[in-house]
Amino acid sequence: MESKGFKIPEDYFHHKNKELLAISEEKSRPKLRSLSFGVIAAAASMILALFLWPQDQVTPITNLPTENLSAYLIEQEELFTHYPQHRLELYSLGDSLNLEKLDSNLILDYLDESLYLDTYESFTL
Amino acid sequence: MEDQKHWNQWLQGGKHQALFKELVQAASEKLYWHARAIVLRHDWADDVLQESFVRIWKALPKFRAESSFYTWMYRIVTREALALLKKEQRYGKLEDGQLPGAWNDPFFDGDQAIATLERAIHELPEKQQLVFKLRYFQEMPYEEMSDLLNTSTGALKASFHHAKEKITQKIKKL
Repeated sequence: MESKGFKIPEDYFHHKNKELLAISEEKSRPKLRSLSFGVIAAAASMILALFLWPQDQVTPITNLPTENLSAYLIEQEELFTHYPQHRLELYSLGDSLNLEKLDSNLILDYLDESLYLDTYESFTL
Repeated sequence: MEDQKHWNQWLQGGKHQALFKELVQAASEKLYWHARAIVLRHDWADDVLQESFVRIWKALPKFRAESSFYTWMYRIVTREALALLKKEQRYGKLEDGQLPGAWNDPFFDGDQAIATLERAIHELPEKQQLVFKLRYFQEMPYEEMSDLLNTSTGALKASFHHAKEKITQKIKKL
């Protein structure tokens, strides 16, 4: 073909062969290298996130806003359902019986009885 | 033949990189001129050679050596060259609607007759173009061409004859 006027640049095949050989060098690089880099990067990010992520902090109860406390107590209303029944009766009777006029001995007897019941309940629970 | 034997051994032994190096050293020049005979321009032949060796490298582990290494590589280059021509015909036309060719290639300093011939070749059907170029520019024997294109030598000779007739008529008109 060269005799028909088709030319090539000087040292073309010398340079071209180098370029062609680079194909196999480039394509034969283990994919593991790029893969492992990716894996390492992901692992590093996760570890970093673990350390930087805000940890659960214990807030002293005195620092809690009142609304939060009320909301918490309302949510925990189950506690009230376990409140000893005899105490609830006492509170409900309080208004109608006019406790100020009650005999103090009666009150003491009642308290002794309640104390006994509380102790008994604490053993049986 | 000796080369082929070594290359087969390397292929079977999985020494693909060493084999590829050998193929580049042994065949790049021949394959370049094969590509140039089809596309005619140096820059296109350079692109075809590059793409072909990328394909050769990728396909090497799957090559079963049922044909010779050379036939296999020539087929790859032929396919790549034809694909490039198709792409250029679709997208690479110049402002005047003509396809760039050897006539405006800085690495072509042939006479006007070759440039005129090239323009006449462009008007042939693809198969006739290919046969004519391989025969006229590369002086490829019909037996070799038959192996490469999976076509009988008789059909190739007929194709070349028709192409020559058409080109002669075209040139007479120009």
